[in-house]
Amino acid sequence: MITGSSGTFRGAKGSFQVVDFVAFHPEATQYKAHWQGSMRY
Amino acid sequence: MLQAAERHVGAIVAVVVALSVVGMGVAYGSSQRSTHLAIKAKGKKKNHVLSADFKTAPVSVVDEPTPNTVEFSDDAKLVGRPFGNRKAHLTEDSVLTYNQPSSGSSRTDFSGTQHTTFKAVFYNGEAGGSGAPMTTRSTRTAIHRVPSPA
Repeated sequence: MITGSSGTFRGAKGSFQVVDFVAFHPEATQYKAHWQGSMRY
Repeated sequence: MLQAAERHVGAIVAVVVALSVVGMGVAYGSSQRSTHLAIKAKGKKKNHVLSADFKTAPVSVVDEPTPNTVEFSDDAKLVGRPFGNRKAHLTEDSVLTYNQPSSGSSRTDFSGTQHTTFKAVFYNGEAGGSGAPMTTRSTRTAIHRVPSPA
């Protein structure tokens, strides 16, 4: 769910997927990934 | 106990993540805006490619409410289209549920499901102002790979 506020993203909505989601840094877990999709605003 | 949980989380590699976002309309500006302007602004909407990378800071274990559940949170930065060079700040709250409860102090089966709700705030940073935030809330489900036995 995207909630756009005022300005550029006012009324924004869209859909996307998270891809290439991986954990890294074995001593203190961190995550990284890529978001791909589209937004309409 | 929490440190043990962190080690457990650290051993996990998520291999499948599916996330969907459904838009929700919001109120347009103040009550002083005219209907005509609102309709005109709505008509100008265009599709924009969303292609951005995010990377979290180290996660923090919040709680272990059950023997096979870990709650943790983290902060992240989101960078890419359509946000230009500006970074969005994300906060994530996750619940990781292992398929099997822990046996003693060690865990050998790391399979399970992760649900994450995150909030992203973007500041468009238009000239002369600080811009306005956009908030994103979503839940993702991840399937975790079981590490090979030692």
